[in-house]
Amino acid sequence: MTGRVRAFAGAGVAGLACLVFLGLASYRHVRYYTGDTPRTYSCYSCHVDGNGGRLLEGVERPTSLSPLMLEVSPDGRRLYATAQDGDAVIEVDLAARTVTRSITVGHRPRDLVITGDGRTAYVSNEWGNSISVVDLDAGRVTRTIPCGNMPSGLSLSRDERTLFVGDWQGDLIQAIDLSSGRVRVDLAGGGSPNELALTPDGSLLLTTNELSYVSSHRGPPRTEVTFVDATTDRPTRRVVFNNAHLIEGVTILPEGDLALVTLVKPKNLLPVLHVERGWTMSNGIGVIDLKSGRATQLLLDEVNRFFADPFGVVSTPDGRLAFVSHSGVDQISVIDMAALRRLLRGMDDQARQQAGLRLDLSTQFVIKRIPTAANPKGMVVAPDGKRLYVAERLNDSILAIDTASLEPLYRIELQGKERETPRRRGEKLFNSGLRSFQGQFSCQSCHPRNQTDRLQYDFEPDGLGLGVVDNRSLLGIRDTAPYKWNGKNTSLFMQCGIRFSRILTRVDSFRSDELSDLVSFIRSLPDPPNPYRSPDGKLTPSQARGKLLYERTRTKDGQLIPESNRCITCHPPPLYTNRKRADVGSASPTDLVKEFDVPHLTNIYATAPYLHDGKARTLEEIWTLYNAKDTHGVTRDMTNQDLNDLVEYLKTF
Amino acid sequence: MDASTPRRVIAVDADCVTPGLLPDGTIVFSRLERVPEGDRLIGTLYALRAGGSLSRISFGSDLDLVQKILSDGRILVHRRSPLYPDGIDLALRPDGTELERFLADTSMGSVEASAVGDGRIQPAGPDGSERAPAPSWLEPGYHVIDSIHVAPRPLPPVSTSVVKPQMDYGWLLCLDARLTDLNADLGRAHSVRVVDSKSGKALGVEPIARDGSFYLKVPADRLLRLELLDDQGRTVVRQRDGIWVRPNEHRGCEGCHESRYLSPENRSPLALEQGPESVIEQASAAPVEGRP
Repeated sequence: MTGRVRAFAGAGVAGLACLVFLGLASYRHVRYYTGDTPRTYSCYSCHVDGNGGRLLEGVERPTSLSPLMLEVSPDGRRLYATAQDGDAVIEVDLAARTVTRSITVGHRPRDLVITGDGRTAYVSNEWGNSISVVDLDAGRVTRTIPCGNMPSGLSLSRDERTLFVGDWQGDLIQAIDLSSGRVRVDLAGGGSPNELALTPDGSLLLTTNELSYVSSHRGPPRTEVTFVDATTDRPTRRVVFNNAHLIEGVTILPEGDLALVTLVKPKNLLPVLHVERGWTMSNGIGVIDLKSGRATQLLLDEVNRFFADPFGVVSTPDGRLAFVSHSGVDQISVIDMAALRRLLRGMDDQARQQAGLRLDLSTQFVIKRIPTAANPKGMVVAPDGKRLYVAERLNDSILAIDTASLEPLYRIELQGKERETPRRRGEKLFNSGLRSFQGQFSCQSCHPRNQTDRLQYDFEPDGLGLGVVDNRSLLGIRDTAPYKWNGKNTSLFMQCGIRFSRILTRVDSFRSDELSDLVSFIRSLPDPPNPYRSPDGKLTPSQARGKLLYERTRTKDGQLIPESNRCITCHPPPLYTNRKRADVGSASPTDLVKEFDVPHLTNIYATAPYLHDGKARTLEEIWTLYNAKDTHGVTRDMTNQDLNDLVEYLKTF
Repeated sequence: MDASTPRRVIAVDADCVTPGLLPDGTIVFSRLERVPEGDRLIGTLYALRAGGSLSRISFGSDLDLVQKILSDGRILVHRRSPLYPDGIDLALRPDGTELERFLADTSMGSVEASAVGDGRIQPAGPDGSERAPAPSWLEPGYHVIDSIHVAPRPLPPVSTSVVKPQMDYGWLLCLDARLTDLNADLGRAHSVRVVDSKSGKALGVEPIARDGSFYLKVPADRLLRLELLDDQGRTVVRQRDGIWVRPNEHRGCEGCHESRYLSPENRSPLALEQGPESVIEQASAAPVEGRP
């Protein structure tokens, strides 16, 4: 009997231990994947269809605010931040260092400007395609002004009657008459107009452009800063930065003679051999002489240390210092403007030409690097010049820095640190350049706004000069495996795993839990609103005609189109890819294979250039230049009107 | 490292000095050997992996000594040789790739160096002399004899490796052989000759592309010297020290003795259009005149 009792007791203890172990394991599992304390979750909550990742997105409640751009009220007492993930503008009382209000605005707010009396703010809603007019006394939106596609930076004319808006997706700069709320004029920008700045006298508006022109195949990236006469609404100059892109922030110095912009210098025409000494990417600023339009590029990197993803740039009211936020390496570079001006004065034309390649210059004008929390973005200097405020986007906080001592003073948390989801952790990894050799670049450096930088790259393992491929947008890729243009990566885990580090970052690859977080983030990326789709889902007549062409089985003269050569065979909805490889006759002599991954077509309106090596600059060119033998669908029987209709339909995907 | 009983990790039939511990557990060290030529001491770098395998990672004929593990995961090496009697500092990856002159934030010449604080290198010069000017992040007028760690160092990242030991060749890509900061006119350079440094034999001669680029397939793990020749085959400039590539390494350089502070220009090298020219098959060529 004693033996039997002992056996029962032993089994009971073992069973209890198993239960405790399983309970703890499942608690940790749910805690890890949801970032939340398990309360209502069961296995069923996430795994009902065998696809934990998909359901997880429903379980996860996004709670992040993600402050992006900042403004301070003219009296210096209140700070306002656009909360990208909170669809709100956050108001902070700077004396009390606390959040006082959250004002709901449109979808995915980006930039904001405040009127001189401090009573009104204009907020661009990137995914709302609108401007929210906010009554700051009442703390509410009083008016919503519709505008172009993905409004970005904002600037108010000196008389505050016109609001200039960077129309990111439409490549336009819009001037909105604030009395009527109508777009007065659309001005041609460069590639994805971004941030705007007005000279102190209000006469000249500068607009940065984030992306390069879509240039000739394998041409160098060329990105412009657009000058607009703010009194006549006329573009007056296009300053082009060769071999530079991702021109994000801009500031005009109080003297009114120089402008500073941030930029990235990609080395996409070189094979990705190694990362040492800026062989893959370098990071810096552009200095523009506003009178002559002469632009000089200068690196903020050092020989053994890089400062990925420069984003914002601001100066003190006296023009003594400028600050650049490096969102990839969580640093602020402090620029001594007197030293910078001295350096520029000592340069002849040849020296200026070479300055953008020199890694030894930044030590002559960068006097300090100030560490921040994750992903510093927009900055603002208080009107009295004593404080610099930095939006720490992925930390949901604002950092205050003393501009005299250049030391951080305090941090304002915008909300409690309740939990951090895998998606948020993955977003941090995605935006961190600290996971590449010497901090040279992040995932975001090639995928700005999670999309594409429009460039082509030559990766070493294929052989130098061979297998050059176009960069691809990350939007909508969740269920479109396999990945890579050769279709060799069967999952995002494989795509972002060990091989990625060996080819690109050249440091240790992501741990499995990190990789899981990163994939969770990439899978969660929502599609921006498609400007080519009507809200009621109806197609325009042109799009409807294009749909018929897309789905057709016979040519215009009645010939049967082989099933394998119909648009809809390889690009069936809803993903518009059959997830196979195909030879559409696009291979060039330097390609190692002829069959390439059939790309998904969702968001294709925003992913130029096209084909595996980016040789088609527009959707039209896919067929007008690179389908002479009808190997990429049958299009030779189409008229110009037919092709236009087809393209209009494709843009709705 | 936990102060327990020391144990021998490997037996080597020579003096092994200046060990360094990499974050993945690899131990790198210099193996000393006296060579009859000139009765010189040479130090060759080896890496002892955590699993116990030992591999040679340097292929020069100089005294190479491990100094530090840099914050970026590379190895800082101090080299003394007849060419550099005062020594120079080099950096290379733990797999022996990407050997290059180590550059601090300003030109400091040869220095004793120590990683401090955030993991960057602090130079330790005998005084504030011209050879060791203070980098911007030190106070002006500093005077240091030897630097010490003043804060815990962040663990360096683990370097990934492109080396495939089963291969016996690698590649050299030069973007513009005429780009130099030497006081020499390299505009006449017409071709490049690859010389086996040990035997003095020319392995091959290949023309330089119009834009100054060349792309060569060369034997791995051998000390090579490059020479630029004019259109008559006469030497324009000769590399005084050597270079090696590891198996499967694609080695890139901007020019010949170009400023080491330059990042490369973004342009497609013409040499890539033809693919690599192999100098391996030409390895039976005669010794170069006037060379050992």
